Amino acid sequence: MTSVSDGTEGRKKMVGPIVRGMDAQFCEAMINAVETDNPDTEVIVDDQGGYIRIGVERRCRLTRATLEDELGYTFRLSDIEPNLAGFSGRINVSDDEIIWHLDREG
Amino acid sequence: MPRLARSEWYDLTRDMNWTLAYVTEEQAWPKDLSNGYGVSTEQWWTWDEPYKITYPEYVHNQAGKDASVYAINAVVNRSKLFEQLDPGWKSAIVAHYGAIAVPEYVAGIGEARMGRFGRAAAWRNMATYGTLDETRHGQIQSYFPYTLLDKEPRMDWAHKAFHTNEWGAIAARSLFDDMFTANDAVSTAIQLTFTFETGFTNLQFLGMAADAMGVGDLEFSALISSIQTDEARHAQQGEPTMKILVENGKADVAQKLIDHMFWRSWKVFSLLTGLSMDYYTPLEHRRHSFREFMDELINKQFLDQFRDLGLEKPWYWDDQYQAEQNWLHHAYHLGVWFWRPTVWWNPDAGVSPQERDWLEEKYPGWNDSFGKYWDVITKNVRADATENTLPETLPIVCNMCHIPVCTPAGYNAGFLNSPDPHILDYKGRRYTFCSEPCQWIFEQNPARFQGHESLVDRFLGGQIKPSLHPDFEGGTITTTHLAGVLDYMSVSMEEAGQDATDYAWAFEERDAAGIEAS
Repeated sequence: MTSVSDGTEGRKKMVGPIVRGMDAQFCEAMINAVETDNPDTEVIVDDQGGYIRIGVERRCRLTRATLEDELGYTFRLSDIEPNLAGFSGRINVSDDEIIWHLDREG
Repeated sequence: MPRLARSEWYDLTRDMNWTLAYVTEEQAWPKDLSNGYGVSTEQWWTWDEPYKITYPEYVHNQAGKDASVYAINAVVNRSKLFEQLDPGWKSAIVAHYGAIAVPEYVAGIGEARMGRFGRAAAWRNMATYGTLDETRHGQIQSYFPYTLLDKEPRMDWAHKAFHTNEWGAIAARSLFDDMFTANDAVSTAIQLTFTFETGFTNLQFLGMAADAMGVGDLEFSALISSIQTDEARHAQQGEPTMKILVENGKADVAQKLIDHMFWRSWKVFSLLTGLSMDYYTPLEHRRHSFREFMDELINKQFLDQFRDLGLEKPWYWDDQYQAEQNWLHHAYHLGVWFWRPTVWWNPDAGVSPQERDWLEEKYPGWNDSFGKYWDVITKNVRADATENTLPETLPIVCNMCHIPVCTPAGYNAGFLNSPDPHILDYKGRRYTFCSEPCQWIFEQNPARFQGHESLVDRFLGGQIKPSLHPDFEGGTITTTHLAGVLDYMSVSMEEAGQDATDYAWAFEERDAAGIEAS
């Protein structure tokens, strides 16, 4: 039998939104907002055309205030949903921010 | 006037839990409809969804989603976009609609059951949105193919497939009945919303959306990615359900439910998405291989999510699952192409010289394992002997996943220790399985599965009659048993799948090692 490695151990766990690749302006605002809300952390953007994956290691924060700054208009956080095709990690939605996170060590 | 923040009134509007006085808990939440697995009512009431939304927000969002996707459909209908799509890509979407549209509608039954029998008001609230979501998905994925009927008559399989005994439809019904139509609310939350939706639907609805954008099928990309925005929300019914099971010492229950449905989901997505991504999507527009999408969306993203909740990889992860990712969908593709009259789309062989190079690059060893079967097929096609590339009878079918058993291909490719299927004799009947996990699922609950007859069981039992059929591809299968099988499957001669490009791939000149030109 051919041996197959699983490749899941020892890698960085990335979390964050996966945005539909439809509204370019909104995608740009999301990327910028995640960068602003997660200072001193590497934000990885993977543009797959139909979707754009935005990833931060372990914990990714997105605030309504920053997203409004980027969009230039008032925005209810729940209005993100038509552009939120998915996400990695676990989500926590509150009034003014969304947190994506993974907590388990190893 | 200052408004209250949503969090200040949210709980009040969603929580309507009450203590039963006139009926017992078993009467209100019968085990068959809602298996509480022994967790107390008060504990279930701690259920708290991580993705919160109110009804006004929900309605506002859904109206906007539909308005934008239907607007794209209206514009695209006036264009020549569909006619210009690659034949293989068209096959991928014809397959998608048949396999997905009605099951989405049926998934509404599972959501509605959670909407009534979920064990906390907060959960029932989320499931109500989920019911509306799945109704939307059933409708929109019936309507879009309906608008394409004059361009592709087989788009009616969007509505038809699930009501037939076509073999893929039998496999899909078996899976979805197990997962939600005939499942209790608690198990549905773990198996449908967590395993299937948090995990596997991303492959077909995000991965294919990426490819669709490249292909230029804006409509399909917009449609399926919009659907996935609903899934991303209502899939979040799984996490709180799982947390409660884990916190109350029932991690083993949750683990078993996941192990069971992860395997069944893997099988069906390997069949649907595996073929679409690695063979039907035009080479120049493939974002990733199916294996690469599996790595991204399942083997990292989904694995991280369920491990974070205190669960572990399924027991078959290392030995069976990892190995199958290297060969299973290649074997399925070979089988679907060979048995092409039995499917409602035109399978695209997808093995031109350039495509074979790509397969070899993505799946090292492909030419030596699967390529050699295609060498024989190619020679037959070039020799104008396509009758040798068509089936005369049925393959062995697995009694769990209801997909043909492909173990010889896995063995020949070096990923299995034996080419034999797994056999179980149980209460006087012989059952055949494609894999150890499929047999394991059966043995966990034989009463649930033992009465179901596979297509081959039905054939041997006389439910499927051999019959004469008009000529098909030059009369090659006129007198075989397969004609009766096609009647049983409701596949007419006009609908029966043919090679998507009329064998153009077999005559393309090669530019790398492989088959000899004849």
